[in-house]
Amino acid sequence: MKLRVNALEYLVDPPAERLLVDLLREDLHLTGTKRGCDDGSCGACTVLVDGAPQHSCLTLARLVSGRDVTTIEGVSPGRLSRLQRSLVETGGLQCGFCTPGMIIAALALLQRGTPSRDDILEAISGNFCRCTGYAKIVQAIERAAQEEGGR
Amino acid sequence: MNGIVGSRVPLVDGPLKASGSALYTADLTLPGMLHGAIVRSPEAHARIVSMELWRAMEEPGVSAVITGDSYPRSFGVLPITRDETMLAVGKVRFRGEGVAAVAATSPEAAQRAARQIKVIYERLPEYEDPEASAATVTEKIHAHSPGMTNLQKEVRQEFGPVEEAFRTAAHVVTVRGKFPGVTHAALEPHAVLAHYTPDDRLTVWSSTQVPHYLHRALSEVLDIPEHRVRVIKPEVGGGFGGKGDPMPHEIVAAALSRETGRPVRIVLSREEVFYLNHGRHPTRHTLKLAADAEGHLMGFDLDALIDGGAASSFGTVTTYYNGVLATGPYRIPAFRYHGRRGYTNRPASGAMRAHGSVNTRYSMEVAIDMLAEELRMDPMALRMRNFLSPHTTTINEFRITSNSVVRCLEASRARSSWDTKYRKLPVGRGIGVACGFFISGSNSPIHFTPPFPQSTVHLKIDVDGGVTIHSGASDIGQGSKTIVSQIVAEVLGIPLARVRVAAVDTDSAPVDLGSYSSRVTFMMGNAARCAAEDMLRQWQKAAEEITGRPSAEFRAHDGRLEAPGNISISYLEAVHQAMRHHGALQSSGAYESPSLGGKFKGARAGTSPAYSFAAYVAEVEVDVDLGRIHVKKVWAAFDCGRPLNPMLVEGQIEGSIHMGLGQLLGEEMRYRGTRLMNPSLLEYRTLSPVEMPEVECLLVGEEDPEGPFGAKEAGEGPLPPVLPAVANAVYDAVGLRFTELPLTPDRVWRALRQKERGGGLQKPPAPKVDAR
Amino acid sequence: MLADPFELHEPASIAEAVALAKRYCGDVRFLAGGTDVLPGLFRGLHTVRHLIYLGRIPELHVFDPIRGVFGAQTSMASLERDPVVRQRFVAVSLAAHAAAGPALRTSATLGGNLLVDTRCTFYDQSRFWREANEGCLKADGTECRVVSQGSRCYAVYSGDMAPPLLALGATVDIEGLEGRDSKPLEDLYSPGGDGRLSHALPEGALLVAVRLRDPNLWSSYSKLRARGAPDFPEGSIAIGIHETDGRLDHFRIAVGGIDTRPLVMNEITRPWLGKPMSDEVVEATVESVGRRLHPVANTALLTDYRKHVVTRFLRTDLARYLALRSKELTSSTPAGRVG
Ligand SMILES: Cc1cc2nc3c(=O)[nH]c(=O)nc-3n(C[C@H](O)[C@H](O)[C@H](O)COP(=O)(O)OP(=O)(O)OC[C@H]3O[C@@H](n4cnc5c(N)ncnc54)[C@H](O)[C@@H]3O)c2cc1C
Ligand code: SF4
Ligand code: FES
Ligand code: FES
Repeated sequence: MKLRVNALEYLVDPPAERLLVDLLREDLHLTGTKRGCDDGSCGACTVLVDGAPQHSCLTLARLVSGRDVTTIEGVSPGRLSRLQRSLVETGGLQCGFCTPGMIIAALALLQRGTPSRDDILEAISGNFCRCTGYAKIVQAIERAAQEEGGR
Repeated sequence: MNGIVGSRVPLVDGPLKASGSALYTADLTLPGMLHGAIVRSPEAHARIVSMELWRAMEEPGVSAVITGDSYPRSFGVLPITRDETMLAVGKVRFRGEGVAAVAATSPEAAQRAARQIKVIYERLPEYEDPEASAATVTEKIHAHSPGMTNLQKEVRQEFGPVEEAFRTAAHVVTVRGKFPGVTHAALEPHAVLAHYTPDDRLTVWSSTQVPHYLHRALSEVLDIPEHRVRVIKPEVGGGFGGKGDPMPHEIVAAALSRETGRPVRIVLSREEVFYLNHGRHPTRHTLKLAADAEGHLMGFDLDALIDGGAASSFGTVTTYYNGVLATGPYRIPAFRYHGRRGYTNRPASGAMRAHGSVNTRYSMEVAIDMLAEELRMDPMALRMRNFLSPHTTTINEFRITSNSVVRCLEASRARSSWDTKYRKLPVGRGIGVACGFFISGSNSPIHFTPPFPQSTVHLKIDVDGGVTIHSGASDIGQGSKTIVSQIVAEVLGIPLARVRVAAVDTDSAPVDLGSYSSRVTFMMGNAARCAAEDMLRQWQKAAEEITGRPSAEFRAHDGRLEAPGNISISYLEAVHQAMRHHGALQSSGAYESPSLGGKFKGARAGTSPAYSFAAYVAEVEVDVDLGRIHVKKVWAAFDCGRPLNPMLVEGQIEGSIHMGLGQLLGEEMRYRGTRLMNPSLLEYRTLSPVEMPEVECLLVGEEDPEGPFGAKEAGEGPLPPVLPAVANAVYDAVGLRFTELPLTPDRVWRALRQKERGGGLQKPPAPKVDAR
Repeated sequence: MLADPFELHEPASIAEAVALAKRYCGDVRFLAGGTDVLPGLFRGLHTVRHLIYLGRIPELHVFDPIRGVFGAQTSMASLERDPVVRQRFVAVSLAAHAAAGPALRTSATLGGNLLVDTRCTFYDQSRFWREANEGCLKADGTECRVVSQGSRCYAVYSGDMAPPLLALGATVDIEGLEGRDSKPLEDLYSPGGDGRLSHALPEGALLVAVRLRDPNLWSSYSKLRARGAPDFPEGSIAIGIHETDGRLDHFRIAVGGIDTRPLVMNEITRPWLGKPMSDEVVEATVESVGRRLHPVANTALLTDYRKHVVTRFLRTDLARYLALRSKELTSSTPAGRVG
């Protein structure tokens, strides 16, 4: 089957039970997408499928054939996007393990316009971070949103 | 001063992490790599009668199956209590313990094969309660416990006239605290990749906080000389103490690699991480404080019983810490502590952020709040009356140097408008205060006899002008790479971008005791500063050779070496000049801890070259109808000496508050007997972003005389005060004392309902002595 | 986490899907968003060798909030965000918003939510965990671990969408072996009250669509969850009300997260039809509904608390309706909360 990931086409033939997260990490070596839990509860594996955030650990790889997958590697190849830069500069990441999923979740939010603080909290409520206490993540997303707005 | 230290420098590895390019252990693959899986015991305490392995061997893709019998050597993070084996030998001690392991061509094949291994167990009596462990038992969990008990450690300490203090005190308050276990829940599940190569060398990549301890354990258990073992630490996705011990799966992967001659990777599932645990000890204790009629503390008495689970881990230290870390920030003229740690058939407890001090701190600060009420004093005033001064000694002979606790309390009082709120907010709203005290690195290294320096840093610079830092300290997300880069760049007067930190690799990095006990900034920071100063001297000497001006005149600034009279050469010129003599330049710096502590048994536990202090105020709103505690805001005044990077310090405080509030409001290793009921992130409930309060960090500490650039720790000390600050605020709001955690809404609601039945909710009485 | 190998079928029509289901009868499951099926497979809760993916069937994707028709494959995200749904079927949009987290709601479907497996702390565990506990009635065991000597299972119905849809009087279109059928949503849930069955849809039958007739009802949805993040309901309550000329002609209440199926309180609400909504109705209703709630200790929070909160929600939501009623009532006023 054909699979589009980060605007590149791949030819793959995963078994039915192959999860998207494993296909990305193990077969395509796109290890930016992380795995933090066994049951869809941490959000570290979040990727965009046709622009919407989705847990790649609860998605069968075969079912995304023909759809557009964006992983952290595809967010802004080669340089950091505004959001990514904001996260770094604001201190919205520490160990960085939640960061790829967090960025994808926030990206999906920012695509929908300028969010309120509550929108941001809600948008990342499925993304677990053990390090930051979320405060600086929220700040970073707010900052990125303002910059996008004032562009 | 070059202004690099003290500024809000973003993480040097931030761009790698934000782009998904940072590599963590589970991201690594090697050609020909196999995958390991561990068979785990469904029994909590049982003899292994037999194991049937052949079915697993015959599964497709299986290359090796091993059991504990071939690897019986025990290990443990403390050399005095080695009671773990990489796989169970003869019997299992907790549900989830490894009994066998498989290496196969894919994770699926390995797991499938693991499922084919049939083990027959003979059940033994299960122990879930450390109280029972302290009494006579019919079956010992570990043979080395004293007599017929399951005790692991017992500590008794007494200083000053305790009996007399409690006999003559005007006020005595008692808190009976009960705390369930909580766990680190770092987002990255533990992972390891091991490669045993035909030259008889073992290389292990692992998500560990202390490569050096793993290095030793691998060597000991697998009987490979240390110089043939190499441990590399890739990025680590959080630790909080949970990656501080050498862990069984790390050794298992190495063993499987040696058996198969191929690289073997093991990535734990989240459920397995819960069984690994080594988290905060479930605790029951009785804490008593005595005070005179003016509110001077007279005595402290604590009896604590902690549940160690099935292994020792850091438990001996924990048992001490439960008591000794309560000797600050207040002056305690008489102190008694009795602590016991019992083995149970639950996953081992160990060190978790703010190790050993959280539960005692909770009850202590609640007790002070109670005392204040009895004395009709404002709790801030009572605290002010009792603080240790700077440059003093505690009752158990801890050396206190810098201490800004008074400034902390004043800052949080002012910023929170305490005086207008305490006992004055309407029913349902409240404000509370609590203080904190924590070590800045343990002064007594676990392993080092004869005494080596605690921390060593090497620098190297070659023709390209980039300075490479070699250090054995692990950055586990707290930003130690950034701090060490800042220190080196500051001393050498070069831009941060000219500094790079080599990955921790025991082949090239000097030994370091790793990231725990909040030792990195202080100890590694001092070592880095020494190393950089050594390097600078080489540059200065070269500058003298070039310019003829005395080396001592040169200051490093902006990438140049400048001397009075407009003499200025670029640092690269100096480097190249110096290199003529012996090529690439190297320098080394070390931190040796001073000799501290008294002469009595256990005197070294808790000694540290410096201590952090804190005073937090929390404001809450209690939804009486739904039993919910909404923490509105926390004013976190913290004394970490001089913050080398305020942004990172704030990050540590905010993260600590998240974790501390998690323990207070929802987190719990929920057991039924020995059975862990919630081994998942859905059911082990950390605080969601929605419940996180606003946090205002007040970094008011003065420079520490011995810390690098005046800094002390900020990684663990920020955690403990938040729990009692909120609990005291809840008391201010609804007049209810909670001494059993967690304060989930259902339990709060039940307590509120009982209280309402007993006469309704009301504000506790206001003090007669106000905060001044 | 290991799923046994299975075969994935991707039919393009309802007929094809039903035929496949018939062919592999006993060894098959429909796969919608997969957010419930897949964790179940990894944990070995179900071991089927055939999954029939429903995402490629256009008819199941019908989304027509104006006519009130929602195909089973409607995503929770679109229910949550669509402005028309938010205006006409407030409780539906609130419930969708309150379920799981945003990324899950992209994949999670309405159909899957209505048919989501019942939950219990002793059941939603890995294969290893359950084997170590020797299973239970619902999966590979012989005893209930919650109610000793229980002869049935008390696993909790924990979908968020059923209560609001029941309160609004939804009907469902079902494609069975005997063809298309339309019935009240209630009929999807087994009256027997055994948590082993999460629903009463015959094996192989396909939920096609949900229909809501009346866009003018006032509705509310309130959910109790352990924290403000992706947590299942520990109790939830939905209300649908309509009065004509000051008299109730629609009054329905449905409770989720408490029993083995969503509880529809028709016996309690029906007698009030034809009468005006009043404080008296509120009091009597809260009282009677409270008596019908019998949670057991198989979720995170204490049972008496769950019961308390649900009745408290009911009281405040009805009170809110009463307050609005005295002003000019619009169906677009959002009501409900997540507590
Ligand atoms: C971390 C986490 C948190 C969650 N939180 C919540 C929550 O708060 N509230 C909540 O309600 N749910 C929650 N869920 C459960 C689940 O995500 C939702 O219920 C979701 O809506 C299920 O839809 P789905 O499309 O993914 O269903 P699937 O998993 O695809 O299917 C669920 C069931 O329905 C059957 N099915 C699906 N469609 C049809 C059809 N058209 N005809 C016949 N049978 C069908 C399937 O065979 C299966 O038995 C959570 C899940 C996770 C992993
Ligand atoms: S209620 Fe009883 S039978 Fe049902 S899942 Fe829970 S333990 Fe099993
Ligand atoms: S790995 Fe997908 S949600 Fe945790
Ligand atoms: S930065 Fe470590 S989990 Fe978020």
